[in-house]
Amino acid sequence: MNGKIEIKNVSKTFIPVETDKRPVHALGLINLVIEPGEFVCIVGTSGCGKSTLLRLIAGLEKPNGGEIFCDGELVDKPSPQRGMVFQEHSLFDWLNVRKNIVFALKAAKKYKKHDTLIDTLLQKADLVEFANSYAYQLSGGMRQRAALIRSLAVSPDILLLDEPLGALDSFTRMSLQDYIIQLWRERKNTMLMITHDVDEAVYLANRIVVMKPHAGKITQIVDIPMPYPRNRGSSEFASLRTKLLKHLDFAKEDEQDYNL
Amino acid sequence: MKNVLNKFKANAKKLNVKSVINAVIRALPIVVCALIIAVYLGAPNKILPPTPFAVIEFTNTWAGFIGAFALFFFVWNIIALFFERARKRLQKGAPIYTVIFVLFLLYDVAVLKLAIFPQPFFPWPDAILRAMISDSSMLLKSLGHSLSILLIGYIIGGGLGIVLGVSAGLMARARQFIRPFARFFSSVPIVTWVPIMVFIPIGFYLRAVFLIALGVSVPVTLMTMNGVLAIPKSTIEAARTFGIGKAAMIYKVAVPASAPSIFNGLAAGMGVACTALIIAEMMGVPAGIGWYMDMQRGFLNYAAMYGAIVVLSLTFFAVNAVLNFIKKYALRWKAGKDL
Ligand SMILES: Nc1ncnc2c1ncn2[C@@H]1O[C@H](COP(=O)(O)OP(=O)(O)OP(=O)(O)O)[C@@H](O)[C@H]1O
Ligand SMILES: [Mg+2]
Repeated sequence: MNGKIEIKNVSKTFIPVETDKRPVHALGLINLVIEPGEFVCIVGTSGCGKSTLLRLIAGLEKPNGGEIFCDGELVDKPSPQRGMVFQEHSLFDWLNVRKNIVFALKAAKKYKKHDTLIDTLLQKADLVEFANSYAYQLSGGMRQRAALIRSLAVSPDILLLDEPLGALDSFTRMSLQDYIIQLWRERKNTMLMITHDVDEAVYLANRIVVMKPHAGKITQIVDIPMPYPRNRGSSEFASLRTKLLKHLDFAKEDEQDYNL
Repeated sequence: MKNVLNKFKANAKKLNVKSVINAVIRALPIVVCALIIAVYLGAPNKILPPTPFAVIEFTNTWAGFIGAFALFFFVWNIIALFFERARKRLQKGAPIYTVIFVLFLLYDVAVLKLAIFPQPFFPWPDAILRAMISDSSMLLKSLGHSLSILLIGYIIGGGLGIVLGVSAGLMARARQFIRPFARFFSSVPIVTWVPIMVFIPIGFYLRAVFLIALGVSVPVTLMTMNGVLAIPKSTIEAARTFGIGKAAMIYKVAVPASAPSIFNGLAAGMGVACTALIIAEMMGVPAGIGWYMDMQRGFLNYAAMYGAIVVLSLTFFAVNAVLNFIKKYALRWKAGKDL
């Protein structure tokens, strides 16, 4: 089975174009192995390097040190085997939903005429009536569903998601979380998703990677052994959430004052 | 109950009044056309005595021309009674058509009936129309010549602008060279270069094409570049994650994504192109409608000169309208009223 990710001693420093500015150490020595078919979430405060890590895995950016392997192959450029869903603005505005998917298939050289794949995907995303709509005619949730099925159309072994639900309201979010789980359990591909939402991470992931700011390092990896579908109200869910918040320094049961 | 009934009656009344007003507005162009004919044929002329340059002569050409319009609007009004779409279009257009005909009427009255403009510099509509008809083959030939210069120059300049703009938008190195030049040329009005242009030994025709292409390429380059620079990073990266090639990235992503900006550049470029065409034709090219206009001015044949101005302005309006039509179609994926 494909979809293994090995991150070995990876670091990334951004050297600003202006010489008077200091270089930004976005990532320092990251080591992580993700097994095929795993669902891993990355949480961490803003600016801790989550997006940078994901972009390195996607091949959109090159590490300064260390290597990333996907299924034993060194990552040095983007590949349709590693799909990516962004927070927003990733649908091609000038193409309708169907043509967006055709674009992805053609770019990945997987386009076949008279293929039922696109219709099946549209059906699954509940977008059949909107197949010929442009991005501006869709709601935020529809747009993200369309971006999801567009990425899945080329059947990537690895799907990278950078806060795909970050711009959505909480109801749309929850229904899309279920949708993502459903897609993942059908396809059994590797999922690596960044989120700001601890509940979302506990609801979705097999494992949660916690990153800390400034250092650009992984500080904790938390296993979530609950079976799917998960119950957001269960005590196990609550205790896992508390545990995570503690790792993120946000659970302060013993302190009276807010840390302002 | 009574209240409701009253309200209903009031509504019905309001609706009625409104639809009557709408019908009157739709019929206004016919009314004004009739007025033009009546005034032209009926009111006494007070125009100054004939000059050696222009024979004062009044024919029914103008009346016939306006009469044709009156008939056209009459038929349209009849159709509008039965077809919703025709009615809507007429309703929308009627005010502006009315204003245009009122302007015709005012001009006619000012020249012929009140004689407030010095002759022979302000020929009346009938004279202009006759000049256009009698010299129509020459006018058409000149128009064709002008259009060929305009379109060839425009296509070369627009194409060059898009290529330069996309290159400058995608490659920092190219931007370093292209942007300063584009900014320099966009600050200098196109007329400035004409005296130098005259010495370039490539013939009148190519010189005019070159001037237009230069004028068009500058705004298209700048606006295309800005459009490419403004493409969201995630749009480009999404395309990259599908493994898209370099060439496809240009024509399948960069160009369509920046199309709104490109069209703004093309619209600005059309303005420059029209200006450049007139300059070129009035300063050297021995053919074309600008040349025709200038020549008739030299012969003191003012009616024909006005005719050329009418043809020229309508042509410029038409090419811009065509461009706008293409833009509307190409940008159908975009929301907004600025289209
Ligand atoms: N292209 C870039 N050039 C310079 N610095 C960058 C670049 N991309 C990211 N950085 C810097 O790297 C650090 C990590 O950024 P990154 O986007 O990975 O954070 P993040 O964890 O995704 O934050 P958020 O949760 O807000 O999205 C930040 O300090 C950011 O300023
Ligand atoms: Mg981020």
